[in-house]
Amino acid sequence: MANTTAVSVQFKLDSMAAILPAAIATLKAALYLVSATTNGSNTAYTATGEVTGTNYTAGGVAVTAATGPAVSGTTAYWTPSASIVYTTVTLSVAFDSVMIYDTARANKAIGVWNFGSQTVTAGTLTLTMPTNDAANALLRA
Amino acid sequence: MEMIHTTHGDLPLSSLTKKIIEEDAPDGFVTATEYRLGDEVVRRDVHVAVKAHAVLKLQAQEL
Repeated sequence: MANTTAVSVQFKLDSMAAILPAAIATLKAALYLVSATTNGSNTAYTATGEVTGTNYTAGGVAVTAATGPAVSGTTAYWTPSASIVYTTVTLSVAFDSVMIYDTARANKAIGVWNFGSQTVTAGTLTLTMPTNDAANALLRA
Repeated sequence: MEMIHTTHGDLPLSSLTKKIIEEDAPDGFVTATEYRLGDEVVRRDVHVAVKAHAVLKLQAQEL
């Protein structure tokens, strides 16, 4: 047997759970233009580079997150519990990213996810979440 | 008669041409469904199956 330098999985879980407790109801998801610059350096929601269009409200839509982070082995993980849906929108300028942020903590950002350049015309944008497990969850540590 | 909401209001689905475009992008599998009235796209729905790509890395530093 040997000793190994590592961050404790408990610390990973506690860190995630402090920000993303079960049934958190204050998360939102905003969309960003291909021309925008949103990434890990964003500390909070920004309207700069956000999409605009018919039936899209600045700030985006609410994110459903019924369950808190979980642990498997040395991985802590979390995924929203429902698809993120923008209904009957027209977003004619290409966008490719979504930022999830917390309105209860001064709009602090959770993360930015890319999905390729898209437009929507009088239709629905549905972002289906990956399987919530240690290998596939949206957020893993 | 099935109707569908478009940029021209609600139109009969039968009057439109439907096209499905699929793309396996690095961060998501995308399915776009376009409905055309002639050459004009009057409705476009997009479904993205987000891929597991984002990883929060926490690393302990060797002393």
